Amino acid sequence: MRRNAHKVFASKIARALVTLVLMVTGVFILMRCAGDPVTVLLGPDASPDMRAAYSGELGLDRPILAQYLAYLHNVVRGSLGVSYVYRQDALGVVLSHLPLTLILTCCALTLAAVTGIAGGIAAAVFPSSIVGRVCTIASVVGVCVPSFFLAIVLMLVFSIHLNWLPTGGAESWRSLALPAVTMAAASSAVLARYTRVAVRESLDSRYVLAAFARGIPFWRILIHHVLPNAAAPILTILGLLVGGAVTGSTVVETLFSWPGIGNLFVTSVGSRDVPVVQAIVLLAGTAMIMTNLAVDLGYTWLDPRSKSSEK
Amino acid sequence: MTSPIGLPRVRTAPASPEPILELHNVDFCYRAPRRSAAEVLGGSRLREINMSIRRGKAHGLIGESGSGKSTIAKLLLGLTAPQAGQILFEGELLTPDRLAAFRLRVQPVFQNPLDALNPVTPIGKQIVAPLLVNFRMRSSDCQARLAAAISAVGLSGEILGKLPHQISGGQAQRVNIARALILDPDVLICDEPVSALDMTVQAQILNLLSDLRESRGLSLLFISHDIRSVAYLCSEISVLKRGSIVESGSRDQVLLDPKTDYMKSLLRAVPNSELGAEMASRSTPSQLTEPRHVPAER
Amino acid sequence: MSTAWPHEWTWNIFQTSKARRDPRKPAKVGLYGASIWIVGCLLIAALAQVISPYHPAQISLDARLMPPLFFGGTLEHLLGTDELGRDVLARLIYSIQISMLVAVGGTFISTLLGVSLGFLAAELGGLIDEGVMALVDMQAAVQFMVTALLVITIFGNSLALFVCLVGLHGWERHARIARGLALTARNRLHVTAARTYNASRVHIYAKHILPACAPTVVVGMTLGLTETVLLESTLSFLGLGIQPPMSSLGNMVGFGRDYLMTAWWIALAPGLVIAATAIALMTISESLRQTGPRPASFNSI
Repeated sequence: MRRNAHKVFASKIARALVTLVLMVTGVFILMRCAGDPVTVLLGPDASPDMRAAYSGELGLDRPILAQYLAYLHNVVRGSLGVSYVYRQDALGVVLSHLPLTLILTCCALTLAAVTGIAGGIAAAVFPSSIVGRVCTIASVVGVCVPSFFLAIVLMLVFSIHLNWLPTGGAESWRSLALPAVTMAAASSAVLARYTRVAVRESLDSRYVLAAFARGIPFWRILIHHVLPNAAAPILTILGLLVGGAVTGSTVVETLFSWPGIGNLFVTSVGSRDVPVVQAIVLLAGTAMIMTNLAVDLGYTWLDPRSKSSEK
Repeated sequence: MTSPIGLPRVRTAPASPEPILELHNVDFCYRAPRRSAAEVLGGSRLREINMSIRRGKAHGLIGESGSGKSTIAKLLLGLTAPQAGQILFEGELLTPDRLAAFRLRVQPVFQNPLDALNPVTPIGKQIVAPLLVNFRMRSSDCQARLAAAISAVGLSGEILGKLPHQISGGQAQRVNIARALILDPDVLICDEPVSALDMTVQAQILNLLSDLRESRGLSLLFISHDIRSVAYLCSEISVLKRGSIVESGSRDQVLLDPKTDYMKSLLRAVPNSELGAEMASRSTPSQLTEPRHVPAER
Repeated sequence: MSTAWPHEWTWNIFQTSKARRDPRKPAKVGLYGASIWIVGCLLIAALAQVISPYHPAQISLDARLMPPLFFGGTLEHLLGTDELGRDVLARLIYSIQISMLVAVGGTFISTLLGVSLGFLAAELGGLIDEGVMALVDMQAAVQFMVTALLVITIFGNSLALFVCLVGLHGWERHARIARGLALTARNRLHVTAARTYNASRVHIYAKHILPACAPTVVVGMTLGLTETVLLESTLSFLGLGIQPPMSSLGNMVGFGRDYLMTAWWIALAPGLVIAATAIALMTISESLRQTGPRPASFNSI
């Protein structure tokens, strides 16, 4: 069994690595399709000797496979070119924006997890009461209202009319509130929908009916029977949300001028700052793949069924 | 059965029927990643299969679940290729380039009649589909063939516009037989054609197959785990156990004088343990008794 | 039976769960409302040139920032005017046209791409299957927004490119579903029967396997349409999608944002249209899912 478990782990890790390599390859191909890689990497106004040096380093006269390997080497070393705008190493620029994004995302995700899971459970347990209906409708609306529109409405109400909170910047917790709420709304709606379906399915099952028949109080059933069985899909969605943390806040950051990676991302796309965009894409992809891997491995640890099936 | 216009050639069984479809030392084993549960449960391995179906005769194949019956049907329909051994059709080796022509002359009837019909296509279109796929035909010819086929299986024309979920299981199996007949084949491979039907309908379908065999000179391979229906329909019987044929011979040899313990245990497992027409008459008193006492020559 | 339950609302749970299984139960009113809204939007998109009261780029500097009717506006400009005096209703109608074009086109492309790749993977198996599934994994691993922004950075944007880009969104879900359904469907007996009468692979896929997958694929399409509407509007809002002089719904919200203080209606009207369209599509998708067969898997909402 132990060897089998290792085998499962190894295959999952191998799959993640393949996905990672595929992603890097995809980026490489896209960049090559765009045109002269020297211009792409150094920017339009690089000096001729810099260009010559760089194409020598890139080996543009060499066959495409060698170029690809050189590119892989560069990616592994973390040298992704120099930002046109900041005149610094692209990865460094990106990393310097990371902490603020992480703060925002952590707040938003905590909020989303609490409200989303609670709302989902409420919607599943009291499907025909007012609370349940409100939760169900709120989750549909939350998924469907684009976050930029919600942000504008919130801004209109809380910043412009009531003048409680600032419209942007990153000075204090007060400027964190609106972006965090906006971002949490969408995630929480998604979480609530999945939680509702999972809990509902669990509630409809025979073992819950049997537990009712044995006269076990409802709260015990919910905690001991329903929630553990509904946990897997909820964890998956949480994993996706955490994995998307690097770029999940793009729209919100742009709107509230929060100086994190998302904001950098959009301004870099606007100014065609390819090295920075490329760095962000690779970083975000890596984060996502790693989180997925962690969630997968976590299942294999936690779920008793997956262990017994390995025997 | 009435024989309407343009009924395809009626073959008369020659005095000493030669084998039309033969298996020679066929070995078969499913590859490791099996795709369907049926293949996992069903015979995963066939060894040294020798069998021949004679022209105009009905050949029965008996065996318990998982003995490899359906795999033999697949091999004989050209759906998979054997790992070793040969499949001969009219004395010629079945090769991939002959497959298309082969399939025009060997047609299947499957176990689950409703699953064997496309749920979204009207019955009439499904019956003529084999013609349209294989030949360029005038629609009047198609209609004539269609009419011939459905009257041959005893269906009325109004069924043609219906969808599969609107008809009964027995009707669906008749439709399947009609679809197989429209290509005017020489051999029908019937893979448990009556197992999914209820008793009276089973008897009707068995009678239909028997009639078709006589009127058109069709050869049948009749695969079943039900000894009674095999005994009723077939003149020759092979017994399959775990991928090998353990017993083979004429109906009376196999049923009345079984050589192997396996066959004996199978016979004992039949609810009414006497055999032949008598047995059939007891088990399904309604249909099987009346007109057809099992003829001497089958 | 109901008296035996310890709490009254536990009875409630089972009662509603039973009611939920009734196929005629899903809220009809919501479904009708949603269908009417979507059909209305499509009609507006098709007839934009005919029904629009003004040309969307027609500037009248006398009538700048007029509020909508009931908020102090006039019948001349039902939804008010923007900073250049362009009629908001006219711009809204043309924006709906562009947004619908992108959403429908994009969904069509992604469904076509996903379903054909899924079928290819299912039919050919082996290395091609592995390759397609690896691509699916990769696409699922990177948020689509990120891919889209990368592509826009490198290639810039035009309407055609943008439609294709939006069409890349969600193909992996269609591919996964189509592959799964095709693998199940090709084991059905009627497919085997078709093979025994020499039907070609194309014939089998067109006549037998595609109809079996169609209901689930359609549900997936409505879901994809919802996401596409949101994606398009988000990208356009950020100024990275549809470019002026064309305007789409998201684009309108983006420009209206600068006038939030003085003229909230410029951003509000298109924003509400986006939200309503997405909610309507979601409602339709939900009720299709409840009445139709259970789909194999939906990985995201």
